[in-house]
Amino acid sequence: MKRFISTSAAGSAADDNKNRKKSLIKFGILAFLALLVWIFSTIAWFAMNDRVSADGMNVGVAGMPFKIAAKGSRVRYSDEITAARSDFSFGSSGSYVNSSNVSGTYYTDTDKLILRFDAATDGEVKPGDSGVIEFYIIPTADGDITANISLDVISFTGGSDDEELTEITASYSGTNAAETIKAADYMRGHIMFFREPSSSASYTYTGALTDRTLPVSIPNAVHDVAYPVQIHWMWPKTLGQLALQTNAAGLRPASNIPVIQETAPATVGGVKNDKRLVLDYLYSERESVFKFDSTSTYTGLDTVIDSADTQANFELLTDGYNDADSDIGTYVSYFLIELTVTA
Amino acid sequence: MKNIISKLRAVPLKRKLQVVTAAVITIAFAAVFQSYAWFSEQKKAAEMFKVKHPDLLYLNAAHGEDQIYFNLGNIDIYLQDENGNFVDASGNRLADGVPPVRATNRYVFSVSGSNTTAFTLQLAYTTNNDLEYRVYNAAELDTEPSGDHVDYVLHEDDPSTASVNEASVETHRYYTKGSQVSFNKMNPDSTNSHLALADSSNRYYSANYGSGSLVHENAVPMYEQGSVSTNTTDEFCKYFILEVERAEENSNYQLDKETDIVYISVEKNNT
Repeated sequence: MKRFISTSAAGSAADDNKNRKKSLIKFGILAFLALLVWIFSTIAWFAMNDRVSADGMNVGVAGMPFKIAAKGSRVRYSDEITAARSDFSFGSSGSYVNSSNVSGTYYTDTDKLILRFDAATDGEVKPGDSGVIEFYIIPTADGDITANISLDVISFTGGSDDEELTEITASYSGTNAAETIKAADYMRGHIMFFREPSSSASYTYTGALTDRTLPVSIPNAVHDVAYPVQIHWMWPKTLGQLALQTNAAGLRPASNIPVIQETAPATVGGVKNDKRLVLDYLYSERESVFKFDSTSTYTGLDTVIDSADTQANFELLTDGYNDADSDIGTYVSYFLIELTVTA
Repeated sequence: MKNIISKLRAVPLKRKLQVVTAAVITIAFAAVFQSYAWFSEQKKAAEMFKVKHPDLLYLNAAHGEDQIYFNLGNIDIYLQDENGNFVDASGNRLADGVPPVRATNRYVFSVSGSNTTAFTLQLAYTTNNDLEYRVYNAAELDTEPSGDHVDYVLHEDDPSTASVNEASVETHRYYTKGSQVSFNKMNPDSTNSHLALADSSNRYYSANYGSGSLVHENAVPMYEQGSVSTNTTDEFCKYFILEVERAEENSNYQLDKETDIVYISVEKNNT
């Protein structure tokens, strides 16, 4: 009896081992597959980080064929921008030539670059102010370069001695949260971008970038040459500068020169002129441009915008524009113009 | 090894298909991840700007109280006692035949705001009674000074001075006169400086009346403007004393008119 039991025990142990092996093999195959998937996804993850390919791990991801660089003696609100964007850096300085073969100091070798400028003072920005965002593309190889730049305006509150600098996101929950979030939206709506600076005394900018993107193309680019890219921004002071097609009704003071050429809005061959672009922008971004107490005012605003030189329309739009400006000044302390460059 | 091969052979077709499908999907996913990583590669650049606080400018009564408390009330033309007798500066009744002494009425108002380094103060007034308006810079004091001053009783509760028996407590502010704010007359009639220019080519006149010419000459407002600097871009509050006094005797004016209008307005200077 004792022996039987022991035999039977030995037999079941052998079965157990077999089963264990089976499940081990099954587990092994599964683990191997899982490892494969893991490796692939990890490679993908690493590939997202440019530094890995730079380190020579050769994961086979083609990087962008250029670096971005900044030039200038000063950084605007250096403390604030480093607090606001800790992942951004000033880059490291190096000597490069421009396309006229004049060498200069450029700050580069970072994928998140803090831009620089040359003016003597920082200055505070108010409606009516304008400026230029300048950065450089330095190709890492000879050949044609195409890139796309998208522009964003990000607002901050605080930043004084007794209030910490805080980005105004959709989930901002500080004091006057709803007004502050809306003011950040107005800020984005009121900063307008243009491709070209003022070209004559009669109007200011051309090439309205109302979709906040700018395609850049540098044919036959030479490596290690710094090619400038300029984006002109403006915070229009009055609605009359933007919306009026002419100043015939005298609604705009003489000194408030138009933001874009005074002309009728037109679409020629599918291409909208600047006036059409800006009027379309005022309509499509109406909730970011105008502040109206009643939401019903926003509906049907396109006809109002298209005939803004009618006194009643002009007054309605001007009030909305100025109220939004006032909210910006009250709730927004800093704003960041952020450029995202994709190849 | 042989075992594994034979095992694989033994796997039904359905299973094999499943395995192959799973493998293809896995590889496809891996490829997508890699391509996504390539697409998502981007560089960023940023520049920070500071937003200027909005330009604010307020016109208020003394101590920054609501405009409703800037009350001119009755303007005295001559110094009189409660019985209507003409008196001198010390309150003594004047002898018969002595010309009455002109009364000086003083009212305090304030201009406050931020981000305004200079502003223009404008007086616009009708000339019905030939009143003269002068504006002086003023200083606010909590305690009554011994010298000449304007006494102002606060209307709004001041939490720092409110007491249990609030109704019986009057909080005063005292204003002393400083230098006079110099005004330019924008539209004086050159032949009679007491009247505004009613020339239709004058923009002050035509802005009010267009080309109309049948306007009573004393109803045409006289505009005076003076620039005041705050010397700061921070918040500020400046006090002013408006002095109203009948202008020098003028035979053109009778004393039977009752109404005059004076507007005070401020505008930020473009700097």
